[in-house]
Amino acid sequence: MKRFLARIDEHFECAFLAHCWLSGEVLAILAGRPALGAIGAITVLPVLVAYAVSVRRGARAQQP
Amino acid sequence: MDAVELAWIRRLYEIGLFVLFLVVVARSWKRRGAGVTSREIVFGFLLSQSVELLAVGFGRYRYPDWLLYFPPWPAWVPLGIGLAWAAIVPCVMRVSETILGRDAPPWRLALLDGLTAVGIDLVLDPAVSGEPLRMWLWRGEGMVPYRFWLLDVPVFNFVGWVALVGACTWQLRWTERSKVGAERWKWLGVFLAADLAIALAIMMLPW
Repeated sequence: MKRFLARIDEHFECAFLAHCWLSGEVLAILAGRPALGAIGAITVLPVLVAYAVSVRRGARAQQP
Repeated sequence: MDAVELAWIRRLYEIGLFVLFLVVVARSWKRRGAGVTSREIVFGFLLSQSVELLAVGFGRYRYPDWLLYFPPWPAWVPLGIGLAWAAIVPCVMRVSETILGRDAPPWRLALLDGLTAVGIDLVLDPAVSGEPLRMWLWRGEGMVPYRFWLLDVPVFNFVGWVALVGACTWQLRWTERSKVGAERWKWLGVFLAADLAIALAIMMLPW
């Protein structure tokens, strides 16, 4: 749990965007429009993936 | 879902916005310092709240039945909306800087900021505006009718998001890089006035 929270803190802004997406999914379901949740897979998920790839690249570049 | 459940969801959503705002501010304050945090948050809040007031004043949309409005009179725009907007700005900026690099051309960073922000809005807006949640309304008596819609949300809204967030973040980065001390606040004031003028012009287009 500590490690998970530390990772969230390290990548807080990305976690914030992911939270916005997931909140939207939940609200879409509550609004009776679950199909709307798929929009995040097109509009937000690519940004999160690009972020993860960039972080990975940065970590690799720092390795000896 | 009955009216009581919907009211609970609306209240929780609004309280959630305040909590998120506080978390974003606290973290930014701790990590990046008071100066840059206050500039990003204050500018983001003032810009968004002002644009929202203009838009509601011109009948573009409205926000019924929120707990807290700012300013309290006229009760047009919820405080949570401006705070949420202000919280999104630094988050999309940091994500763009991670993806493109902090030294990427400012216009590219601003474009990615705007596109990321509108990507979030594309998820949230169709879900919470209109029936049944009615967090805000795009249609109604006394409101301007729109011609172009996407997912039951006027296209004007999404164009505005990209333009406004992109302008906001470009201006914040330019201010941080080019100016020091009180000069930064002066320039942010100039940018605020310019952004409001541009927002008004965009609103007046035949959407």
